[in-house]
Amino acid sequence: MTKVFVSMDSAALSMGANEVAQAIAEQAASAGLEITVVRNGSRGMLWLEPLVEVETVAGRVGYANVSAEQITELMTAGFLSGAAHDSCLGLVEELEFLKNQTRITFARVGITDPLSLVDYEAHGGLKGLRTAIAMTPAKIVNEVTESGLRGRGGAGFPAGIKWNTVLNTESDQKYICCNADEGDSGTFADRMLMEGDPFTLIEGMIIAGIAVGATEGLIYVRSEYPHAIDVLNQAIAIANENKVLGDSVLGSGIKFNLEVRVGAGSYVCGEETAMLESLEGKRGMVRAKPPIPALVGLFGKPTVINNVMTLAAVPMILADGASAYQSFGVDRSRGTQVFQLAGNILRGGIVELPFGITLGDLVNKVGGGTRSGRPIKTVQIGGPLGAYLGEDSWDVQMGYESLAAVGGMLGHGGVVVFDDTVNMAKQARFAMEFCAEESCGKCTPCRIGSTRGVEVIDRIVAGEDQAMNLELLEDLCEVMTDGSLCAMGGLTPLPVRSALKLFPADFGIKVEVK
Amino acid sequence: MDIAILTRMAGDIEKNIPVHEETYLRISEHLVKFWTPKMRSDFYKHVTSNREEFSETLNKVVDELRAKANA
Amino acid sequence: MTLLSDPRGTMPMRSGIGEADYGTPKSNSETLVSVTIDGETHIVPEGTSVMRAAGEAGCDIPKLCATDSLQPFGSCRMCIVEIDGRRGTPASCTTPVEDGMVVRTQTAKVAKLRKGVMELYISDHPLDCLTCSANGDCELQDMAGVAGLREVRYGMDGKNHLDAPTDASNPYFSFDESKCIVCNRCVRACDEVQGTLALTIEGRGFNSKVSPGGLNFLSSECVSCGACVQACPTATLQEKSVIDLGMPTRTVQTTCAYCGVGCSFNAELRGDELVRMVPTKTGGANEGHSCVKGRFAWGYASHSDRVTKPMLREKITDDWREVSWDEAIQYTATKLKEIQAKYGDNSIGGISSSRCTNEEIFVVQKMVRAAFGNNNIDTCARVCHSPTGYGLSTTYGTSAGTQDFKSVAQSDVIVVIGANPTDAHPVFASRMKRRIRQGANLIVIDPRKIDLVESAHIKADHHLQLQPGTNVAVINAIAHVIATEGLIDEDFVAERCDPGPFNRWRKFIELPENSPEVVAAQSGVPAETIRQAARMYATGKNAAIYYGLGVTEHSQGSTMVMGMANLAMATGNIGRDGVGVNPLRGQNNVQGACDMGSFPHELSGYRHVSDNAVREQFEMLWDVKLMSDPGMRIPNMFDNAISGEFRGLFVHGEDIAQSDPNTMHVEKSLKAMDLVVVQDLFLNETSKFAHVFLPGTSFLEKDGTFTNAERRINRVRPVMAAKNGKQEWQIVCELAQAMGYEMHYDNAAQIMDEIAEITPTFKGVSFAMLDEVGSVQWPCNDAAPSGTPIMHVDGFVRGQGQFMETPFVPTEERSNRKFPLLLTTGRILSQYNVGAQTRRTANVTWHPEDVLEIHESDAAMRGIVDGQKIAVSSRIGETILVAHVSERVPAGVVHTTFHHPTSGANVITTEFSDWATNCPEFKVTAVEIRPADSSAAPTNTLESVLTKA
Repeated sequence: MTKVFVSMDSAALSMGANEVAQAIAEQAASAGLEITVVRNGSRGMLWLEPLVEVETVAGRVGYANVSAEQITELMTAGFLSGAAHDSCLGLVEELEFLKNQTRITFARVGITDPLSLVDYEAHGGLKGLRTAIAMTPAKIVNEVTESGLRGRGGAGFPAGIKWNTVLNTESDQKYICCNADEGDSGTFADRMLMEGDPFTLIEGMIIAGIAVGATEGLIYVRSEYPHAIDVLNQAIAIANENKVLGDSVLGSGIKFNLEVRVGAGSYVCGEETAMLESLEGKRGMVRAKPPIPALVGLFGKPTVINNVMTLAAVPMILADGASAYQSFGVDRSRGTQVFQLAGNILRGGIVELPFGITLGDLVNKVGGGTRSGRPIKTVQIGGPLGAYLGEDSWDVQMGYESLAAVGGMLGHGGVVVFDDTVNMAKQARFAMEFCAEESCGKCTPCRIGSTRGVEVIDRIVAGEDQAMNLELLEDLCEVMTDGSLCAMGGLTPLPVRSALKLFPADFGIKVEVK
Repeated sequence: MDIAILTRMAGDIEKNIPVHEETYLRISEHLVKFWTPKMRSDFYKHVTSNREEFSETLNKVVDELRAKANA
Repeated sequence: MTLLSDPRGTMPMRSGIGEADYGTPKSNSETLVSVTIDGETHIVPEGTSVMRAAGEAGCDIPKLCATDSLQPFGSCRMCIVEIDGRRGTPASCTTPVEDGMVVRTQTAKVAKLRKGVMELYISDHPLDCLTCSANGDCELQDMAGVAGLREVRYGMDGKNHLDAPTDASNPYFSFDESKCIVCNRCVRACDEVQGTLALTIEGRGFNSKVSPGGLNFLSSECVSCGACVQACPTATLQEKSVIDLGMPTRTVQTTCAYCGVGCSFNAELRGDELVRMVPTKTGGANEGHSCVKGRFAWGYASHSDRVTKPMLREKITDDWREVSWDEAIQYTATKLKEIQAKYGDNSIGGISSSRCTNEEIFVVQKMVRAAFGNNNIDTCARVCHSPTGYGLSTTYGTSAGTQDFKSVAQSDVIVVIGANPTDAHPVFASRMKRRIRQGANLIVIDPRKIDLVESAHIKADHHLQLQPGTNVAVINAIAHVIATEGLIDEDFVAERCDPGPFNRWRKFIELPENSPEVVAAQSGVPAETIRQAARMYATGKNAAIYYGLGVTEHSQGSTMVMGMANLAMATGNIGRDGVGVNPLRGQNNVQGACDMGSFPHELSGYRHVSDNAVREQFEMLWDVKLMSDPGMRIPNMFDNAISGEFRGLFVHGEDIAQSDPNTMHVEKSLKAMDLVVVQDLFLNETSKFAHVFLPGTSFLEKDGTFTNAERRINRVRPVMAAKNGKQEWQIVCELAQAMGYEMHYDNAAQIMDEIAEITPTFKGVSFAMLDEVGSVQWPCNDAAPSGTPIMHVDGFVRGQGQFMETPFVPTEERSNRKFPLLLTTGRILSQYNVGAQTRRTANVTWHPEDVLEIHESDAAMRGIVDGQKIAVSSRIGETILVAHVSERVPAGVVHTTFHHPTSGANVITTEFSDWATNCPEFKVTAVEIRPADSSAAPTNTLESVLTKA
């Protein structure tokens, strides 16, 4: 029976994937053809969606940008046996964009049926969990430490060290909290994984629970991800039915329960302590640290808080060993990074590669340059609060240390490309505006500073007392960077300062920028 | 003071002190400790002239207290 | 742009003039660590914040969102410092010191950041310092100075909140949002200190604003405790009195005269005008917290109703005539002596007041015993906590609660019986709620669903919603479970208690009649609930009982007190922190009134008048022969007045015609007397039957001491001159002298000296000592020179603890076909007792009239709707109240307050009383209710009685 794959990823759905899938099923039925339409995750080649793949003896043959109206034509062309057509891509796995990637975290995304546990296991799932069950908690933590895995949420804190703190803190209750409040502009890896391979996240969280002695896990998903929430809930139900979750994980006698919690639409709830407040049913306001959540976290109990990408990397680390993961990467940036190419780019989507590729190669070679075809003016990495980098940074290697060295940050791996038509004063103003909009309002630098930032930038652009206002903006950036309670206010100056430094002309600056 | 009030007060005290060998002593003690001499003497007089209306315990209380007062 | 007025040279001390604020709470750790701050090394307890360590060392770090009554928050970013080996500039409030830490609080880096932060603050703050009500008492102003801010480069025309409206809905304080710096101190104070959680921050980012939820402060959950006002570092939340009168310039520390919590306050004055009351942080009872009454409801002291001149009249139908003090005192003395000459020495007596100072009370009872020559002295404690005295002295040997208030912070199980602390003892309730929020278990035993049963972040583990009048049955059932399930602390009992009574009690309590299954039918509490509560109490480590008038004001009030005392002994919950049996006293000085020898049977320090040795000491000191028999109790006085034996009464600061049961009976007896003397602030219900009115002093004018429910003796200091020209003890002394007994003191301190001389538990107490240490809990003597926070630590005061059998004797007052509902009475937060004070303040905003809480089904059955006027009748009388259909009372039970004389709740209460102490059975009256307008006009209402009078 022929298998046809049509993604049910939100991105594909927004391009009409459901209609395509329905049309294929209907027309095959009316033609008396027995086929199975599998709703897989997305391959992460967003410019090709809706992407339809047909299983053939040679492999999965892809058809790009398929619309429901095209199905009759494709049927006629014999696409169900992988026949040629204008939209035919050939074997999907052989596409340049995919072939050169190192898909570890995203190994199954786009390949399997996200809600088939059988499919999951058939593609290597649960191997890491089985390995972990046979190990002592300390050994698991050690394995994660050895792998060099660092927090993929942005801060890059070594996961093993965090886990070790929780493991060594005595408590009647501990928690694993997955931060899936993916709020950075140009980021979508968490969502695509949750929609395309939810069992990987579930498995990673169970392993974390076993490692630190936590029996309860919570996934905090932003409300803007209804589809991911739905898939996760279904996957959790399936995992419970199949005793992957529950009182005895895979019959091990170890308990682990998992629950999805929906966020309340605030960017700052992606900050880990604000997320804890929100999970406790309070206003999403940042907590002062210390104490760190690993010691005093959810409901005052020791808590592991990791991003989706961090936890999703764990099953592979356990399955293949720390050294396998550790062998990828550069410096202290080990393993792979799931880059998300977005903005004005020809080939946007998921690019999982070992750390170390240069920025220029990532956006030009992998991404294919701008969609508009105009020259790239700047790239913003790490979300709306990441620094803007210009041409002089094309050679920088993508890694925590190397990016920091040029004043940038990796953040959650979002890479947003702009062509030469962008006005950087507007972008700088937007950073302040975004902070003003999303600040939790707790600390003064962020609460008032961001609003003042917008006003000062406006005055600079209007040419009012530029020397004084530039000095004031610089002072404000310093107060926000060094005085803010969390990274929200602390990072906002990054895009502002970098924009100002790289493109002073966009601000209409007639004086010299210090 | 109205003898009906004193009678009710004494009745309340009796009901609340459990019945055993010390009961009458504790009631006596209570009356001496908290009642004015006039209340006590009015009550004694009333009990001794209406003995059948009062319990054995209260009769005993009054006899004891009168004996003590006269001693 | 130039900015603001010159900063003051000192750091801000908003919490009260002269009180230091170290920014974060004290750490109680015993481990000490060493920290170097600006080059000097200091040793502090582990867990101390860098801010506090610096402050204690005299190096104040700037701050705005930190105050030491609240947990650190870390939002203002003014307190940043540099720490060697740490990245960036951590906030000193949220950073605990670590051993060997090196901190620098004044560097170019932090100075620049602080100035930058301050520049942001001021860019959204009105520049009206000179005309602002907080000018000179504003932390923002101070910090602007400390940061050296000279200009706001952002200008003032950016986005701002300067036009935000002011919420003046609360009668006592206003909320001027335009001045708010969103430091969250008010929100945190409401959460952490008060525990009401009425305030929140609405919106986010620049739009963040403090919100009381709902329309405004008045319509919100806010209980007007004022913690937010006190916490506010600016003029945003400000007392209206400060706005009207200006900043106070001097402070007198004194003690609140409302409930038995006994909060310490700084009365802040401008000249001789009281501007505001600020709870004292070092106050032992309240530690800086207060309620709406103590902080705000003091205006009655200067109310136009105050009587300040003595008045006389021959007959109570005559008009009052203002007279001189001499005439009033001479007249009273002559009259009293005439009565005694005609009807005998025992024909007069006095009632002392729990509202007055120990010194005033002591002289009143001395006047009665020495000048009247009898023991006809009683006190209003008769109608509230006399069973506490009886019960606790019988079992433990002392007539007082066992713990200090702080103790509750160590409790693991809290049992609240017949008390409604959030309304009646709000400041203690806040302590209790804090502990419950921390995880302590809570058991509530009350017919009503009081706030503690379920409110913000508080939920009782068990609510034993018993029928009024079945307390003893329920406490016996709890003890039965403990005894029969092997939960008795046998070691404690063997070591500390008298075995004879214990064995007898054990046999009694194990009887099947005391089992939860039997008691369930009597009380309406499911047997399993009783069992679970009993197990929780017995096995929960530190279990503490707190109780109120719902225990004492019953025909078995004393039995119930002994039942609770038994329970604590049986489980070993006595003699250490976190446990005990604790009365929540109604009046500010009810403890003191009892201590001072106000009961007819005992002299100060709870020593019986028949004790020859004790009496002889008094006789020697007072140079007078004292009677060795007990005198009359208040109800005896009334009964004897009606029978003609008792003809003259001196009533000191108590409104017996409103507060005592069966108003008709009380009034009849008052009318039967030849002379009624009332000494009070206002013409009250009792004064309608009085011949002499002697004006008294408010607590703001008194010099003396109050003793609160935790036996804490607090100083009451005169804040202003006595409006009547005399201290109340002076009036009493002059009356005694006019009657021929030499009684003179130069000042109140001399009275306390005499109390200390003659009362062993007060031996170490003097005004000088109290002024030095602040307050002390008796016993305070050679054995305990700094007082006794916890009683019975090594042994009971009476030697061995005495178990008492507590048979359940149902009250004769029970519902029947004619009166099918049970009425119980209580108090509400904003009003106090008979309302003489609070009704003369803006507190009437919250509770303008007494209402009758009634269950929906009882109301529906009678065609009564919420807000309707209803007639409430008992076999004694009838009164009119407004119905409030409520889920707080179960079907069959109705509840009212007695704060307003027009509602006359006591017109319907009965003559039944506690068997041992004659404390009235206020808490159980069988009543019927009908719409007031549906039938004939009610009879025997208070109003009709008063008209006839």
